[in-house]
Amino acid sequence: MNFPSSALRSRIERHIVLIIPIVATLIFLNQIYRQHAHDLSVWKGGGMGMFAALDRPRGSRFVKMYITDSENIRMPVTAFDELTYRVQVEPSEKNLDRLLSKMVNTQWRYSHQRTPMLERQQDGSHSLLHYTPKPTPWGRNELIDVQTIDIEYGQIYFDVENKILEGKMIKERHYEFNK
Amino acid sequence: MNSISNVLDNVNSKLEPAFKTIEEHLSKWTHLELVSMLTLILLLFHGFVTKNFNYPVQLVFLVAVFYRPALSSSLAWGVIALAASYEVMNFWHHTANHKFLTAYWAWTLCICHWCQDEKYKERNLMVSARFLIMLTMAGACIQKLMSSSYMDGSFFEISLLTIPSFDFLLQLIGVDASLPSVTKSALADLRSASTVVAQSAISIPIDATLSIVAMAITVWNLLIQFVLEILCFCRGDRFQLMFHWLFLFFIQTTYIAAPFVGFGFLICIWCYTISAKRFPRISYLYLASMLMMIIYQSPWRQVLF
Repeated sequence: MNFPSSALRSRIERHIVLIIPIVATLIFLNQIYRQHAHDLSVWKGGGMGMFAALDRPRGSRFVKMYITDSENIRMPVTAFDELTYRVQVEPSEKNLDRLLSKMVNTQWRYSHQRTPMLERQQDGSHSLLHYTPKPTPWGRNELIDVQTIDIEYGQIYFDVENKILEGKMIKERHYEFNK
Repeated sequence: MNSISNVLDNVNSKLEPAFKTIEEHLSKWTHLELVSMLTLILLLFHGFVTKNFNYPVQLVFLVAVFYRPALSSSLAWGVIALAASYEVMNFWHHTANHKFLTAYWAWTLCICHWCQDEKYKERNLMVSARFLIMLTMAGACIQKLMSSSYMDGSFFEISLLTIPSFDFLLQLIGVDASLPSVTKSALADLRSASTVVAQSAISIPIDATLSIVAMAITVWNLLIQFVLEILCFCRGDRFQLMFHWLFLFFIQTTYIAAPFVGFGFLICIWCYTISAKRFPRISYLYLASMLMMIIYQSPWRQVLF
């Protein structure tokens, strides 16, 4: 048995060329939709937008995460690289909730390291404000009695007129444990 | 005008032996075989970085080196296309746009090799190559026109200062050597959760020359992609010739400054595909452009500047 038949095969060969343009166009349109609906980065998603905008996920989009302990010390957190990257690429409500849920369901511990909290001066130098404990999801150290979790997603814009780089917070999540 | 045509004739006659040699070598390959081999080389060096993708590509390449009909296996191209699609779908957050295009192109080759009718093989290859060029150019133009940070020039002002490939350009126009590191440090501070920045704003001392150059690149980049899109759409010989010369100029000027070879190779393969039969000698220039891109990747900027 000859399958597909030569007539059918000929018809498929004539029209199969349409598949790539249709799929590529649908992916392009999906990227445009998500760019507007979920702020998907122009650089990602198959929308041909590389070198079209400043919103490069790791370059000008940022996710800042903090946990506050029972002594009211607010500690910056560096963890869940893949999840935070996903928020940077597409800061949808779903992605932010997923990151918050991950942070809430993690047992945070004090690590042996300290994070220097810095202040940027006018001349570009940094002055040390203080050190905070560095939280970690790993190890067997003392558990942190976490009171609140904060996630801030933002983007850096450039004011061409005044030559100013400005970081603006766009979305945030706040979670209180003992409420 | 006469003097220009004389010079061109002169150059043409001097290059005649080289063209003859290239023609002789390329005549041993069918068009689809050659396009397949070029694509396989692209995938080998600038494909996806995972083992799932690299193993089938390396295997097909090894077999094809010793047994050329392997290049025409739709099954082999199907496996490569499936592996590329898997990478794109699973890791799309990390995947650059040109990797999506690479996956489309792998499927195109799978389809073309699957076709038995020579007429459809060739037509499907040409249609897909032309479509992908037009999609890329149209997509780039649409995204740039919709983007506020592109149209006001801010994208290139910041990119020139933060992408290391542009360092030589900054030196050429006499930008303060410390400005790139000042900008990178400002961006890092604004992103950091452990650095306090007053009013979350940092002034960058960019001079007027850099702003003018950034705006010139902004306009040039959008304009050339728009013109290429229009010319690619027009089918007459004259328009197509203009398209190919302009595209070659675009490739050379773009990739000498920003050697992102993966995408550069891919568009050279597409342009080679659509020009090989109609303008054979121009198609050789696309092959030469691929070699040039390898040279552009060398650290010549660091040596000269």
